[in-house]
Amino acid sequence: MELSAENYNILFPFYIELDREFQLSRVGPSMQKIIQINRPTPFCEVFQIDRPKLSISASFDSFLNHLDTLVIISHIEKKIRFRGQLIYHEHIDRIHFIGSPWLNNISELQTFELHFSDFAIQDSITDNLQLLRSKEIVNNEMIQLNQTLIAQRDELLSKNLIIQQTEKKYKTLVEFSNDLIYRVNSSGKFTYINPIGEKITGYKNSELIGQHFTILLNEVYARKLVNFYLFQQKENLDTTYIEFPFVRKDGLEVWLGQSVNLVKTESGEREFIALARNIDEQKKNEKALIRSEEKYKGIIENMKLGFLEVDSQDLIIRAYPRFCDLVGYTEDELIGKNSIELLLDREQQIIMNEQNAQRQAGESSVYEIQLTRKDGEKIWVLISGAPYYDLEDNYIGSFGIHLDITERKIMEEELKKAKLEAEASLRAKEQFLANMSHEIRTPLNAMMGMSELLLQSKINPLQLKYLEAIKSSSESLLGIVNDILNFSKLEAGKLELKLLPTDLKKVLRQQVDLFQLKADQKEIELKLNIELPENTHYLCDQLRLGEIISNLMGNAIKFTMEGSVSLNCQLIASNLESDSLRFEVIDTGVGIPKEKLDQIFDEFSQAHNSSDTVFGGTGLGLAISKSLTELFGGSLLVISREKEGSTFYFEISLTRCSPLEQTEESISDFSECSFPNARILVVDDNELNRFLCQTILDQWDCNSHFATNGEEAIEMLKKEDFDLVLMDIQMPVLNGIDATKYIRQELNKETIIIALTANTFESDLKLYSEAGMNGTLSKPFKQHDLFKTLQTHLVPLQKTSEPKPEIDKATYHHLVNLSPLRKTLGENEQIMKKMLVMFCKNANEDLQVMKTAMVEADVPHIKSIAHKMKASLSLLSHEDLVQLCKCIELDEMELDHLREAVQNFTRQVGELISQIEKIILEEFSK
Amino acid sequence: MYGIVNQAIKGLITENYGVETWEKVKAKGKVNTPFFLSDQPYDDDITYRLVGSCSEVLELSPEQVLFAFGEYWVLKTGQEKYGELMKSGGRDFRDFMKNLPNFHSRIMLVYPKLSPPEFKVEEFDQNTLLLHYYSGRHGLTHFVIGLIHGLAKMYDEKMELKHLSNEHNGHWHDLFEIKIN
Repeated sequence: MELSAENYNILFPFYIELDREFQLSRVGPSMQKIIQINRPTPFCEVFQIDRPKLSISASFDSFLNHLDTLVIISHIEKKIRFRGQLIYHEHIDRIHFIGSPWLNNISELQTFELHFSDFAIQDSITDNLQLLRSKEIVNNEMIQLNQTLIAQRDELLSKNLIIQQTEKKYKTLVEFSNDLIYRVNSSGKFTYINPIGEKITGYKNSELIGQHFTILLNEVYARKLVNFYLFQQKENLDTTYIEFPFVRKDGLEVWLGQSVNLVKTESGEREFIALARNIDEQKKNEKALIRSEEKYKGIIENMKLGFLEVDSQDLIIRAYPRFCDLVGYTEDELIGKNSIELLLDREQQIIMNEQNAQRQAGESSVYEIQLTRKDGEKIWVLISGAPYYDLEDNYIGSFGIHLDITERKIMEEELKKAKLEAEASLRAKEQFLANMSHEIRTPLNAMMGMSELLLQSKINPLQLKYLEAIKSSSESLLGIVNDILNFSKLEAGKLELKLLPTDLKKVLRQQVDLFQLKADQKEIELKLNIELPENTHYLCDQLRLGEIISNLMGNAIKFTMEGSVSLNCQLIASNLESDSLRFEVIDTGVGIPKEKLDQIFDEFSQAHNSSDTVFGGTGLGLAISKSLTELFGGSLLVISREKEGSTFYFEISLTRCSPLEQTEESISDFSECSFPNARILVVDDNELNRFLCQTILDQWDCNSHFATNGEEAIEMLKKEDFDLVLMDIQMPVLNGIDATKYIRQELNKETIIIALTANTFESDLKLYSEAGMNGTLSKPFKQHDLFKTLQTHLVPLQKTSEPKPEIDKATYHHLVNLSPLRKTLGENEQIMKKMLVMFCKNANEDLQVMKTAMVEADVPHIKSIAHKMKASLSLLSHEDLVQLCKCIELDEMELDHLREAVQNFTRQVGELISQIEKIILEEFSK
Repeated sequence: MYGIVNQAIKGLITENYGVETWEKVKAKGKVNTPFFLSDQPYDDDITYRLVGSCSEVLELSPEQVLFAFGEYWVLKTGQEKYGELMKSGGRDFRDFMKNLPNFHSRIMLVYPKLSPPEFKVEEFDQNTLLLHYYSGRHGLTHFVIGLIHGLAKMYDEKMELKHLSNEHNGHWHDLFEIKIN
């Protein structure tokens, strides 16, 4: 059978052909891949013979002698070995080496860049390599498995050791335990009993092992316990506890408390492990306790107290007869019911649940609660409740003693209601007084301010007299209002003393000076006697002490027609830090009738029925002085004899202090000062107050601007900056407090804001300061007060005598432009004044109508008013305002825009009106 | 099936989803065997159960699981255990595919208790091979698809595989068209 060259290559891809010259004349395709020859090459240049080695030589003839031998050759350069055999092809006289590479491991395939397709399919060398590799893999896996098993074995050994140790420990515990520990198999027979068992039972353990456990029980308990443990077995309960008496060998009964665990043995059988403790002593105590409890419960019942016991779930365990009477249920109806759900309505349940939580936390408590009786009637009870516990300190329930307090409750409710009513009435009174004083003080502010301004202007002596009368009346009115306010503050307990270093001598002298004029008018002698140490400086509320003395002095002068009024102050005792001082005001006046002496310190009372008309006053002065004295820790007393005179005196203790440097006001004559171009925004809904501020601020060359409520002020602050804002508190639209908060929080502006208010309670001041205000100016204020406020925050300049430049005035009256009117009217000042007054009046009315129309969103009406106002505005206002008026009249705007324009317009016209009014006052009143 | 197959499933899950997931898969498939020896034959049912529970635990279809497993087998298990041998399987993807029938016949010698599938490859044209897959087991078609995709990735070559037919004639016979780009 002849093989074609092609098949020869497929079957023997690694063959070598040798010629007689022992040269490689041809090689198979895979062999060519390794040796890469392209011409006949001597065999020995490429290969060496590895086997046979000694019996063979590198020659054609020698090879011919080894045709039946396994021949191993290797490539000299690449060191790859081939195993095979030699075949002689006689017809071509050539020897062929038929074989394939011998590879030691799979990676050599890669080394020699051989692939499976380089081998004959029938060649098993690659299969062998694969087999080799799988064996390697398995070997590795076996090693890994072995290591895992060793680790597991070690772990088991160490666990076993721990178990053994634990077992040993427990065994010791069991053996030496003072409690009886035993095992019983599923048939109920003892299999183990610990040594103490002999002592407890009186039997030898060997006598008991193999016996049924009922050997230790009387008949009743034998039955009971057998059933008990059959139930545990049936229900597969892990643990149970029971208390029972067992019978010792000597016949004595002893109580045991026994826990039993149901366990499975290794063989799968179930058995019981029991731990039993001698509780004989405890049982005896319990019995004694129950007897004692019954005794006390009996006592409680006899005391008409309802006694109730509930478990931890609030289910009633026991209700005593008196309790049943209280709630109208029988005990049978109550037992087992949830006490909270049965006896309490929803609201009371919440209270009870809180109490229960307290009780479960171990606290006893006494509280009141409303119960609902069976017949629906509500009754109030006072409950004293206490928790109780089992032997392991677990909360298992509570008992409560109930006392019927329904009648007391009804009375309490009535009292509470009466108290609330009284409090409401007091609050209403306080509010009324606060409101009234505010309402009076606001116009009073204007009156006093205006009087002051007028006094500074050129007036004739008669006018001066009238004016002083107005001023004095308003001051006395202010005094009355302040009295009322102070009294209401005192009564509400809202007045606190401000103790500051004070020169007492100076205060007393000032008081005397104050009354000197009046005394002179009445030709009464005024005396001041001070018997004090050299240092007369004390921590004292100068204002309040002054008020007491001034009240007493005022009264004394008022009621004295001839003679004298003395103010005495003397040291009566002294200690390390303070001095006790006695103040006396002695007069030689009408005196107080004996029967009135008791009443004179009552509010709104006066000694003489007719004295309110003769002497005037509110009758509050003494009441206030008395309360203020008490605030100082003293009491105001009086000695008086009718027609001879009265002595009012009080003793108080003041703490000494060292004299402080007095801060003198840097500038005393404020009329000579100015705050040039200080931009001040006055926010007040009261036109008169605005006007007053404007007039005062003008004389100090301030650049003042106005807003009639908080919202307007905010809008203005958004557009421009001011040095200081005077902010009224009670205003429509947006009040001063909210406006200040907005300015601080939303606008983030630090502008100085001063509260302008008649509400000066401490709580009010706190509110202003919390809102971000820098200070308070109390209404009614005097020029001096406003000056001081400005001086605190702004730097004043001393005025020069140079006349104020005209341009300032023009800036001030920036909205007014009178030239068209002057052109129209010529220089006729009278008509001009009339025109201006008329404009102010009409414009004010128009603005009101426009504002109302805006509220009602009546656009046509708004436009018609704008049309009406346009004509007069074009005569006396600047072009900008006229343009704004035209816009409102003619432009089609959305309602929001219109509202904004109208607000802007009314504000500006308002300002225009006040500027014109000022011009009327300044220019046309000369 | 030999342990090496189950080992590969374990490798795929633990590497990608963690040991805890593998324990879940085993528990779900009720497979208690703590480890698999690669040259030991295990019941085919174990492998099927593992594939089923993988599908449930990972919320993937059984086809997706088998495909992932096929790819993993070539790229991880084959490379790790038979790296050199795999690489010697052919000069390129096409060459390897041509050797695939002989490769499986050889495996039978190495693992005498194995009944490996048979493959037949026809060279349809220069770029297209037709692969016949014969197996006594049912349901492993997507495993084969994953394997072939894995092989293409191993040689970093692109190919498109189309499943042309599937028939049952005493054994299962699938025909795939593989276009090598």
